[in-house]
Amino acid sequence: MFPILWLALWLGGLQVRPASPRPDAAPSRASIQGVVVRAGAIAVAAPQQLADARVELKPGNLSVFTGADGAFTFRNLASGRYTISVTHDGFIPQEDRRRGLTVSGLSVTLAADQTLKDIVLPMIPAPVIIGNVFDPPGEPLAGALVRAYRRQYTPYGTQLKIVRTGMTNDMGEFRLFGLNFGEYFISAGYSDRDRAAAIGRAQLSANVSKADGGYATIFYDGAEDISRAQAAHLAPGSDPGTLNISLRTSARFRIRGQVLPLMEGAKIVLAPKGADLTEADYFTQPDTSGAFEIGGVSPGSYLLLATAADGALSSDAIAVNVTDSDIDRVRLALEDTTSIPGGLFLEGTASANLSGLHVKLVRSSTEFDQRIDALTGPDGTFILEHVAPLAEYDVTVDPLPPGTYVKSISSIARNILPGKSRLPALQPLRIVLAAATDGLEVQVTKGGDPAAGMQVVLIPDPLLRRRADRYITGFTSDSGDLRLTAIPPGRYTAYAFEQIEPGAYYALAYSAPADNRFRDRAVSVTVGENGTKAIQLRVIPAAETAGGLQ
Amino acid sequence: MKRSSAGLVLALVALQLTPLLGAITGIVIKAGTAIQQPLRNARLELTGGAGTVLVTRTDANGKFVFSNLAPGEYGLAVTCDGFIRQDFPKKIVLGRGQQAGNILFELDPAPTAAGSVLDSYGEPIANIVVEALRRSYDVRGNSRLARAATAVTDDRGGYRIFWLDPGEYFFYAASPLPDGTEAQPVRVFAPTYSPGVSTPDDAKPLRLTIGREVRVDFRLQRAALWSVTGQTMIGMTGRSVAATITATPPAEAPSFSRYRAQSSMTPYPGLFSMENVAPGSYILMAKTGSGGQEMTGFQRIVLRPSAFIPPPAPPPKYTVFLKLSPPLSVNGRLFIESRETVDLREANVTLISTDPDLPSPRSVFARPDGQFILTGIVPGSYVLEISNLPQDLYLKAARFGAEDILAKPLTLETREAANPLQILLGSDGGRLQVSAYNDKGETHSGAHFVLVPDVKRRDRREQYRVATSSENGQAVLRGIPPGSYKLFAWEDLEANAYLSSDYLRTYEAFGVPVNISTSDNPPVSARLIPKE
Repeated sequence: MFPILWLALWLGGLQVRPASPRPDAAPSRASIQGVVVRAGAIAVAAPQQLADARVELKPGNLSVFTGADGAFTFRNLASGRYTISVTHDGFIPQEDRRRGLTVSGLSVTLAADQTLKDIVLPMIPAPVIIGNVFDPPGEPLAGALVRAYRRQYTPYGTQLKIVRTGMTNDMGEFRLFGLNFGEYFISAGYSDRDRAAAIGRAQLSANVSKADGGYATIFYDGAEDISRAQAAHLAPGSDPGTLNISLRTSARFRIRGQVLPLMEGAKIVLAPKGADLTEADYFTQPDTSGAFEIGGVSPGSYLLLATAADGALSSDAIAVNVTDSDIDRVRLALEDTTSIPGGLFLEGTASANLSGLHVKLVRSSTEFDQRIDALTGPDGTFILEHVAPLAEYDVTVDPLPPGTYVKSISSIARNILPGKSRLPALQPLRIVLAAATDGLEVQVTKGGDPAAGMQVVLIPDPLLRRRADRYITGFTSDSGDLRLTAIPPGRYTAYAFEQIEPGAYYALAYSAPADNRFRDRAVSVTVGENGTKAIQLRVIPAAETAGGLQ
Repeated sequence: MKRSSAGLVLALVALQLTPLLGAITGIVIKAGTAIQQPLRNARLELTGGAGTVLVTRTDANGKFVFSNLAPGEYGLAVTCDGFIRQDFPKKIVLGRGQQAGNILFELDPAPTAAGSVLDSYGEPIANIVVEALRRSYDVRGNSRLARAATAVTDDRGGYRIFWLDPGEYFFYAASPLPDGTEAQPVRVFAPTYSPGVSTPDDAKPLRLTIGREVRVDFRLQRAALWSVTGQTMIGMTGRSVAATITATPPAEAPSFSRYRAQSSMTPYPGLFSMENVAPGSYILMAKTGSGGQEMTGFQRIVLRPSAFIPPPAPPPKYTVFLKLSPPLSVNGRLFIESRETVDLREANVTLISTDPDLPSPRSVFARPDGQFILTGIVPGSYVLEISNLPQDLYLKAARFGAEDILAKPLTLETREAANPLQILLGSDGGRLQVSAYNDKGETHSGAHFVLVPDVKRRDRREQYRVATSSENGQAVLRGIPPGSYKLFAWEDLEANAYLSSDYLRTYEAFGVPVNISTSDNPPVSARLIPKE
């Protein structure tokens, strides 16, 4: 009976984790009501309302699904700033900057006990990229790999990343969906290795021929290299049409090398630049002497990584550039990976519930991503496994309890908050969170008049530019002002933009040309106890940021 | 003198250089056309001795060539996008320098299943996994469904499962499981079998015939997600233990989607919970320790689909106790009834789990004196299988302690298997030469023969005999326990199907009654049961 008693006690204690209230909020009976509707091109018989859409409220992580009437309600809310976002298969939010509506959601401010009614959240069909892949004689190719690349702005810099992978069907057609507006480069490839990457969750019939060596990867519209590829531009009301990619028989090359030391069960990943190594599908194995050979490699930039013993050993990620000849003598040296224990703390609170959060190590460069994830236990402790001792990592906590920021991260008295750090083996990691209590009033003008719907961004001090929680953003109200709250103390550079892509502001921390272009309208701010409380910004108009922010 | 000896040397040299290497050539065309239609880019795979595999493709005229082949026996198989693959029915025997030409493949167009998946509002659902399933049979002849191919829906809810083999299929649609660090999809739908039912027993199959495209649509309901909680403990002692637990759908392939949880010793020993688990059937596996100290435990659970009710409604809960144990070993011995001394080292012994989704230990070879040890066994239920017995020996009886493990499966518990497995081999087995003839009265190579024991013994798996006919259309069945049987010959046979009485009922009339006595029996011929 003893185990059952424990189980009963534990089950009694387990409940759906309620939305954690903000540390300084007073209970309130404010509410938000609204409806999710279809906008843009609507099919003739389709209803106006969008049913079964998930509407999320942050901070607080509350979510509800709309019914057949598309309506949603959030009750018993504290006053403060919220972001309402909507997700539904096949749709993305229709942007309306003047109302503060972006792809990330709608920002609203609630006063105590206020009932905010009649919020309308329009959704438009999400754009897709469709096309066909043909073999050299011109026949449709089934089971070919199609990839979409996109320039992504991240706290680690701007990267060209693979954002979607698809496979052609029996008629050689592909359909890449769930995309946002923007520019994409599309590649098509056909080989056993490409098939392994394309197949995803599908299982093909045994009647589908193996691809064998196949053909080299080609970018739309006919380029062998992404630098010469033609971008497909997705924008509201315009689509690039059907993209046809014809593969060719062209020269491909071999990569040969050695994995050391000899280990049974070693695996080698070959991934194109822009891939997420955590999701690699294709592995090859060295022979009994540790030698490996990978054939049929199209010209391009790649990464090689060897692992063994289920990740307990790992080599560094070696960049390889294939241009017009074979690559020999690549050395992949396996090193022991290590475990890093650690603890998460909330400053000023002895017994905060910090369980169930993810502590993530991100190894990110412009070439690849690799992530290690650990879940915090009931007392905030965690263990990160398979950490490569010589690799450089950034440490993040996700999700951050509302109203908090990462104040310090240290490992044996070394401050690793700025990121891109090596983690000393076996040394405990100490992560301290703190409540962000400072605010900033911002007034934005365009041509001297208050400007509504403008995006204000605070870019952190260069030392902390790798920390996503230090980038603060918001949209101005109808009167051209914005009150930013919960800002981690520190030095910032503030900008106001009329129209930029989501996340594009990260580029401001990395790109000297961008910094130069907008310096005259940037304002330096120090947020903190005796810091600035209010600033004025002149907006940077859409025309100046139309081509992107670099 | 000198000239003629030089001539002799030249002649000898010429003889040495006579080509040793042969070739295999042929053509691949579309079946059933009045004018020959060649198939370009068909893929041919040639398998030879010593594991060599050669691949070539047909040219624009459908022709293929394998050259520079050493003499020997070769197997040849063809695939061609859009068509049903074929194996060349006989082995191709190449003599020295021989050119085996005129291999002809006539391929049939393969059927496709396509359709769309909509939610209860009639809107498309993306990223749903749709599976085409075929009936298969486990070691006890129970029918189950196995995946033949799958596809994932796009933003219009559309999918295509293309180029299946003809036959009967069941279709199934479900939300994908979490994959690594990927989050669960926003809405999870109840797994559904066509036509809109939640259990395989109520599902209705569709027949796919050559070249046809069938439409299979789904309308899915949102499902409540389950909370699976439980405790991991050491089976033998009942003490809690910390372990890693995964929940995997049965016979999962190709992805590694699953749910994971961890039980620890604090604050509640051995307790774990897995939240937001989609309804369906899962195998829970718990593992603890590593290297030589590993302990595992398995359990099959079924989470029933129920309508989604938004929070704060609590999720449906499932509680499970997982018992872990170190792998078991069983030692045993093969005894020969007549007490002759026979070298038994070729005999292969194994235990096969009665649940095809649970692991079975690796098979072992017996020692010459008949002793063997099976290791790495997980507690569970197993059937004994012995193969490759010399001469005409057959499995006559087997006991584990006092239990007859041929009458019903062997159950191995968490306690150490103290009793040895005692296996009695009969030495009075019979031999039978069999052949099959088709409608035209011709013998057929590659036929699958099954000698099915009489009705009283049909539940005794070890009394069935199976063989495949070679090029001459004949096969030999050996080590047959004397008694009465029926001989069946199938052109195409699903593994273990003959163990199912439902399956046999359809074909009972094709069976030829045979009486087997010790040693040689007169040859028997059966009519070939054609492919569907």
